[in-house]
Amino acid sequence: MPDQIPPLPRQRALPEPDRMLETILADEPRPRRWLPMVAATTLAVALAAGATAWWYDSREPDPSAGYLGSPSPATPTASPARPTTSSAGTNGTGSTGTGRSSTGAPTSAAASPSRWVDANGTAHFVDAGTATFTHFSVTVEPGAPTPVAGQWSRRVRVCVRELGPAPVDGRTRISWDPWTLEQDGVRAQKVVDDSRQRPSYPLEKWFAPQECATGVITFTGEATQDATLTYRNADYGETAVWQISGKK
Amino acid sequence: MPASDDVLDWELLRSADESAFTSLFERHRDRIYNFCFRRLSDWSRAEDATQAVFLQLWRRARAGQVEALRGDTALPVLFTMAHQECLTQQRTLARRTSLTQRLRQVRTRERCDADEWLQAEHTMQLIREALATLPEGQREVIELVCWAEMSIAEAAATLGVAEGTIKSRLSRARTTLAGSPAAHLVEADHA
Repeated sequence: MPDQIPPLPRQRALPEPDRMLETILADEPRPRRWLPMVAATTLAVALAAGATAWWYDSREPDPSAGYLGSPSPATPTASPARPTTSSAGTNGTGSTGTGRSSTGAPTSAAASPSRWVDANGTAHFVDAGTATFTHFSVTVEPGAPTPVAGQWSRRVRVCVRELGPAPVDGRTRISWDPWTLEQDGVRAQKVVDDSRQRPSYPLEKWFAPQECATGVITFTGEATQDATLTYRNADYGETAVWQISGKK
Repeated sequence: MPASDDVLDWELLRSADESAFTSLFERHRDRIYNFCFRRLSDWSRAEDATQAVFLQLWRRARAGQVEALRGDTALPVLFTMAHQECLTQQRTLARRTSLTQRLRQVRTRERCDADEWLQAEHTMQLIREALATLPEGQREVIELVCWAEMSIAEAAATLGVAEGTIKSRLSRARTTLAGSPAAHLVEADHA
């Protein structure tokens, strides 16, 4: 053994993590065995909603275009309803797909009884799930955080996928603004400074692509009452709605 | 890092949730990268191994083959995968990039001190040679507990052995290295 052994080299940050992440996510197309079933289901939903102006793009993403897929499919893309789990803290929802839309319509929302896309391109979910839009992916996680009397809370996450036309220092703003809650048809008050629910969702913060804002959003209301949680980004029209049951 | 973040993300990952995978990747990528470097003494191969670990995880998620998380953190699972990946890389005659190529890589990819980059690799090789006298099991415990700052329980979960085994291996390693120039490598406040 040498007379002196130096200390461990200092740790380094992984170089170019965003590129690595994109490479991983673009690894392979999703299995397509489900495609006919999903296409039939979503077509039925579309017809029921009176929507004839959009259709599902069955093309696989172009690997050369990065994990976002080919640049200009003008319509939402279906993704499979994944097998669900029933572990503690989840009701078994949550699935995303890839693709992109030139509108505010979600790029993924698997058609199933618990998630669908309406004629306006609004993604609908029951209880929980992720809507993946062009600029953001928006997740409402299953289950309520620690209950507080007179308050309704959910843990949510908004991730930046793509910057808009006017980013500031390579970042875009994520705030409370897009979130609203209704119970019994009445819009609830936002509770943006309650220290009992941590980590709280940021009131306003700037994020780069691939970064996420995660936290609890809280409104005045009753946790045991049914609620309609809406995310609507005013800049891009990216809209998703979660129907959340108050019953356990 | 709140443990619940990993639990929630892992549960969503089992449904191939892309944003959950992204969160797990962002949270743990650097620790896996540095763990792989300390096994391989090579930054480039550590990067390859890190990508292989997360790629494998994402493929499993897409195939619906991710098992439920047993603890509060995903680290034991990720370290186990990284451990296996590093073993694979060590066993295969991995392509050795020439010094010139590696210098070019570091100069174009990062504006860092190339000398420091190479010095770290050389230092790591010295350290691994110094620890070569220890049995593999003891070296693994040093890597996880002293270097990767895992708890005894997490290291036990990673290696699939009892916590008592981790403690005894660590104790034997410290006894062996006591008074040697490598003694400082097995010091850790929490171990």
